[in-house]
Amino acid sequence: MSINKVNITIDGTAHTVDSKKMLIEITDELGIYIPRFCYHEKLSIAANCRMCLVEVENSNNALPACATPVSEGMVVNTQSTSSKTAQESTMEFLLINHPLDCPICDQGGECELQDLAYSYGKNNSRFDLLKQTKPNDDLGPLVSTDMTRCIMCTRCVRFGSEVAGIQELGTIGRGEASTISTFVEQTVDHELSGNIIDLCPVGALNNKPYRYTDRTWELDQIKSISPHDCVGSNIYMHVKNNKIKRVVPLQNDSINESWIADRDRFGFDGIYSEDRIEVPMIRSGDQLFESSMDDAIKLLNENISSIVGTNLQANISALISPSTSLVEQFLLANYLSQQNIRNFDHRINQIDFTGDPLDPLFPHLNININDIQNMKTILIVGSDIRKETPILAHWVKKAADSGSSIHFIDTSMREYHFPISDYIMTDEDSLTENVGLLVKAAFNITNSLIPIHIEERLNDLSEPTTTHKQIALSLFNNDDSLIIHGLLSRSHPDFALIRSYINILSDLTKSKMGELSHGSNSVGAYITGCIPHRNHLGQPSEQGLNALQIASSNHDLLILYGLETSDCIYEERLNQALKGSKTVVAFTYFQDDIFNEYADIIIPIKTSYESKGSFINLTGTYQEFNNELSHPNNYYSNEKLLSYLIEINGKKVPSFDQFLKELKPFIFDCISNQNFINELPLSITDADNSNSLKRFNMYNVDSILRRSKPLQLTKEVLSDN
Amino acid sequence: MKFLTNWRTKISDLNQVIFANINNKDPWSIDSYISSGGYEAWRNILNDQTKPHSAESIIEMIKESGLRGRGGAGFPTGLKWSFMPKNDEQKYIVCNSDESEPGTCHDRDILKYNPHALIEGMAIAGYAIGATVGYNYVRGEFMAECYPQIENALNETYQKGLLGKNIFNTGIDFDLYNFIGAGAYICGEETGLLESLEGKQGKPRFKPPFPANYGLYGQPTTVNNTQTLASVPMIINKGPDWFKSFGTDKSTGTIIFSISGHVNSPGNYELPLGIPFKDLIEYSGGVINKKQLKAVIPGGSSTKVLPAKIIQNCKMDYESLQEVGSSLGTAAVVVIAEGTCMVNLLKRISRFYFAENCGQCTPCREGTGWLYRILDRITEGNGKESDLKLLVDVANRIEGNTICAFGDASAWPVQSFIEHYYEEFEYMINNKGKTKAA
Repeated sequence: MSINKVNITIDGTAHTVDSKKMLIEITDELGIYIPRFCYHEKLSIAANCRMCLVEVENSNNALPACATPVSEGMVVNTQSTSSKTAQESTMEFLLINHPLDCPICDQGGECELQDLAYSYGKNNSRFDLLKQTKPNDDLGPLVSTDMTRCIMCTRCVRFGSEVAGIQELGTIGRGEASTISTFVEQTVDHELSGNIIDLCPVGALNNKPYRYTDRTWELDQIKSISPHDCVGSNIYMHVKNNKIKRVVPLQNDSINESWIADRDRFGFDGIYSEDRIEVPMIRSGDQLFESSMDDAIKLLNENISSIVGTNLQANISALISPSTSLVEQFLLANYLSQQNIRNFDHRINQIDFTGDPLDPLFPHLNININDIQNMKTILIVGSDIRKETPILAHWVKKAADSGSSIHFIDTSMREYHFPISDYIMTDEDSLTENVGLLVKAAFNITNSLIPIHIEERLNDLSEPTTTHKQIALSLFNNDDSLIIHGLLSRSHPDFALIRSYINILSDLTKSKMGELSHGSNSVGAYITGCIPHRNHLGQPSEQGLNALQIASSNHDLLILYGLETSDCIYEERLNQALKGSKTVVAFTYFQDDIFNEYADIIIPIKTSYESKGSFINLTGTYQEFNNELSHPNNYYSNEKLLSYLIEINGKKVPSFDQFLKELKPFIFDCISNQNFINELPLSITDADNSNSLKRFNMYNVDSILRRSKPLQLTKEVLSDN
Repeated sequence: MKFLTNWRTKISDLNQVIFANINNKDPWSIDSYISSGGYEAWRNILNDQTKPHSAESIIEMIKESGLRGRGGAGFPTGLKWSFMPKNDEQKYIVCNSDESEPGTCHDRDILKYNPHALIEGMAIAGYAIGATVGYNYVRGEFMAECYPQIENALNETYQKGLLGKNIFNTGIDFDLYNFIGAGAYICGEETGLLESLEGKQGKPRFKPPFPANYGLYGQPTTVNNTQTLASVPMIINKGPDWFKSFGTDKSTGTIIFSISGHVNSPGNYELPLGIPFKDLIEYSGGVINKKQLKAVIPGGSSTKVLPAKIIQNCKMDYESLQEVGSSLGTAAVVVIAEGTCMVNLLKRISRFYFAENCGQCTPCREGTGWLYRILDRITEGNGKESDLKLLVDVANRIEGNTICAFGDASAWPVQSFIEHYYEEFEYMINNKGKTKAA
């Protein structure tokens, strides 16, 4: 018998179980149901609801299964009269002041209180006094409150203090008057706050935009992947009549646990925006006219063919959103490369391309997302990580909470709700130097030989400070160390140099190195060849124009696929390029003012919310979503549309299935044999590029989020404007 | 101190342990305390930490003395101390001076009149369990009356060098802090007290883990009542056998009875445990206006009420009161004279538990208000026939199902009042709120 096991008896059956667990964990594993409200496997134990009381022999009172550790010889009777009486007593108490307004409550049908009331409640109430009511707080545009329904389980409070790290909700008052509220009329603004909707076992906290719209049992549940960042959070879309009504998390303990970011939950609202385009448009003179899909596609192909026919491919350019699905990227890249069009890029948030020759086959995290919590040292360079990838920030917080040392080099002092070991705050210009100083410090620690050209560059820098040395030492001393290279740095004028420094630093300190990437499928865009310097699966190609060059020049024909100029960090330049180009083709979800003015052919496409497809997240995990919803236009799927474009061009549609077969070993090889960049980029970009860059806001990063009404009403957006 | 001098001349049994020095001049001053043998036990420990002054032997001595927790539960103090882990972790000794049980007022007098007994007791306890820091959590309502007194005493002790770091170069550290609560009954529950001491809402923790493993700031902690700790110096000085010479076999020593209610001279009376109730009530001058005794709540408002015919033949110790279905609790004896309306009395008690529950766990939060409101409508003349059954059933459903003992405390009065005075309740329901007691 292992010392970590104990023998217990549950309902007359003997079990040998893990001695470190609580009774409710054991019964859950064994499939024995004990009712509960306050207990949640991802939160600390509160033991306050008293619903999980069970009879344990040799104990005077029934004990809460959630807070009772198993012990040798324990005999538990979950179905005994005393267990039932205790549970029914709790249920009666919970219901006496509950309004029982299930018919008008959104939680009805998926309410834990309602469900358990069927088994543990009575048909009639013995409570013939006035019920209590409680005041409601305005928690902002995302979460509705009906606090009279609250059963004070405090899951939402514990979520705040333990997961989000900031206690936005707390208990106020004592006894019967106690209630859940915010601190002096604040709203709930944390980027993960929407999760309290799912945690709330009753209808006290609900999804505000969804309020009073549909009954849950009329909704279909479809698995999908959130398209708003590179994490690939797993979600369920709840759909009725082909329309998404709400989004909830799909638990995946290796990616997003039970949580999703607010933009994953409320972002979809944008696809029902008024400027969603349903019919293709073709310009004639100053005006856009409705057209058939066939005509629009044919017109596009004719335009391209005539330019290609005169060997002027160099005058055709295309930009694709990094949040498009793999098959779209694959087909568009093929359509263009079949015609030797090389001016093609997805990196609309990057301004320094001097590192292209050094580019990895694709940027990735190098470790599994859930392994972040096991890292003993994490250095985060140039990242507003809570807003760039809220779920990754959550995993970093888990590491910090378990005692890991977390270091930042950032251009702004940001709010983190976990202990931070070092925070180097620099201005934008000195970010590069500070990362260089870490490299210098690491060379000093490791006593490695420095290649001459790197030494020369490092000699130009000042001496590392104690903080630099501390961080380098912490990375070096811990086997489990990770450097995260953020999106802020990816948009930095010295991106390539910073990246080289980080690579060298990782190599020297034997750290893992992870790169964040924009959109939901930058990894896919690299692999399918949506870059000007490589074809799919990393095959070499002639060099075309990069995104910045495309945005900085006028073209005979310019294609934008799945993106608006506002998605681009150099929006103004791109607007000028649209204005100056002869023919502008927009494959788009929305018809914005820019397209109204400059686009010549507008082809409506479907968002990933409505499509069948796949993304590759930042760990190289290929995740499919299979959710074809019919869009009012009833046109082709994006895949069919692009296939059709290839076909009318007289070319063979390449096999995506074949590509997928090659994809998996390709990703596996790349990740398992991470090659660090040990060179510095050859030239330095001119700093001029950093002018008039768009400010980052987590609810403005893509065209769908910008149109999500609830998100646009959040403090995050309002305080930014 | 009027009430004490009265009885001192009359009865020699009074004030043997905790209040032994009470009739000295300014017993609260350190000089007065020292002149009556105070801090001898602590000095002996400081002089020599080997047997019989080793930490183990101190715990052994307390075990041997049979001292039991005076906060209400009566748990053996030495045994509690022995639960503390023997390691180098930071440990704490916490004194529960959040005396709030209705009827109880003896800790208040200790804080006021004999604060040094508590300070010395805490230092000794801290030494015995390995705690270098102690906190004395004082009830919020004691702000004006007791807090300056105990704070003053603490300053005196520091001035004499009896507390602090490396006391008299012995290598022994003990720092003590007084902490004033904000006035909540629930903070007298030891884990609610710890939460409050940490600056959080005073909501009891679930157990296990017990404070000995996970206490103040997550460190091993022992929480003892004021009276318990104030008894310690004398036990160490005079030995366990001397302490055991008072009281009964299982309820040793003396306890301060706080006698209140319908007696001629309510007050605090330190007397040996096991004293017959009949004698005890003599100390307080008997029932007022020569009335007949109707009932007694023997240990603070949460203990079960006992009708006169039971209590009159009862001895006042832990075992005897348990045998008759109640408990000694805090030894706050509430005397109820004939003519008192038991329904109104219960309603008043229930209102207290309704107002004071912390609200974190379901049965108290929902049940105490229900109990009070039913009682309220009975006294208002709107009671229903089914109400008595309902009251008992609701009380039964609270009892034993809560995180801390508060649930039991709110249920026991309801159960016992209705058990013993059913007719009174029934009468009031049937007669539109008219009391039978008058």
